[in-house]
Amino acid sequence: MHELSLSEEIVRTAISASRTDKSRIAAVGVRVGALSAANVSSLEFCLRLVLDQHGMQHTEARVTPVPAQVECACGHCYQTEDMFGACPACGGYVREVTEGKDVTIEYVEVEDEEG
Amino acid sequence: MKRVDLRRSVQESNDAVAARNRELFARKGIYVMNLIGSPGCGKTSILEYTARHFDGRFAAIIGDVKTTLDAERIAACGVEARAIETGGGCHLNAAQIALVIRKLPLADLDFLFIENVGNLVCPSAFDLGENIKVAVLSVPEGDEKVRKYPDLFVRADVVFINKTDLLEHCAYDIERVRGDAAKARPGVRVFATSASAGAGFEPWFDFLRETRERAIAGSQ
Repeated sequence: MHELSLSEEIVRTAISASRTDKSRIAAVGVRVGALSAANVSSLEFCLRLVLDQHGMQHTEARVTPVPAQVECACGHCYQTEDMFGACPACGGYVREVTEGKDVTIEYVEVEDEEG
Repeated sequence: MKRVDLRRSVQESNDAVAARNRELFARKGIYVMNLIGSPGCGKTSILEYTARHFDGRFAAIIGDVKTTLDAERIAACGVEARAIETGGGCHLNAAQIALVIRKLPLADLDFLFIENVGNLVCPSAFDLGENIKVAVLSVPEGDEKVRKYPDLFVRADVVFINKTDLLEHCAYDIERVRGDAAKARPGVRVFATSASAGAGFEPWFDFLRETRERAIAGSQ
């Protein structure tokens, strides 16, 4: 529901962190965790909208979904789509989510300067 | 083409403000809870009951899309309450909290309750600087809510199952909900309450006293 504000933050960060003119930003890479409370297709839609608003029609938005990664109390680390399933190694349910809660701005691709 | 690695959370600017809020709360010895639940699950009723029956100094910040009605309900219990009208925003963010807490008598508080906008999705992703997230469920909503909204329940430290007075009228498996909550967040505390009947609140009041003391001792 808040993908538009996330997109504005992503584009703002991409522009400031790339330390270059926005006309040279060819792509923005974003990872969306399965437990991040953000929706991938909605974020793609909103990112396109915000990039276009910034006059960045040339910039590609690459949104990659990231599955949840958990670490069980038994030490086993595994990916899962089901937060209510048992650990495949020990059958237990005591675990920590180690990845998949965040939306992260992974990288920007910047065109080489001409000349 | 050159690739510049950033690996920055999209929440970075919100998290920075939340960290400042948290630091301020710790310095003042205020234990802060972020209440998240559907519209109508009883968040405000739980706060009203707590305000009337729990012996502690507290204030409340109430987020709603429109109106200050819920904040007025809390204020009527003799508690300092401030409303944040988001005007359509689906969650509260740390900057909104930072603005409101300037107007609260922080030196006179032990607890601060932040009632988020009624929504089980977005509020879970925004840190406000709280000590704990409290998810509020209610019996008429059905017993599958924990499974349907894992993003919230992997983060919730406390879960309320409210409106237990309606259990006899609803097909609701309370043990299933307890089990699902524990799977989503091992160690989660679950309180089954009825705010309208005033049932089940003593364990919650004990929890408030104990966790605040632990948090204060931990930060000293």
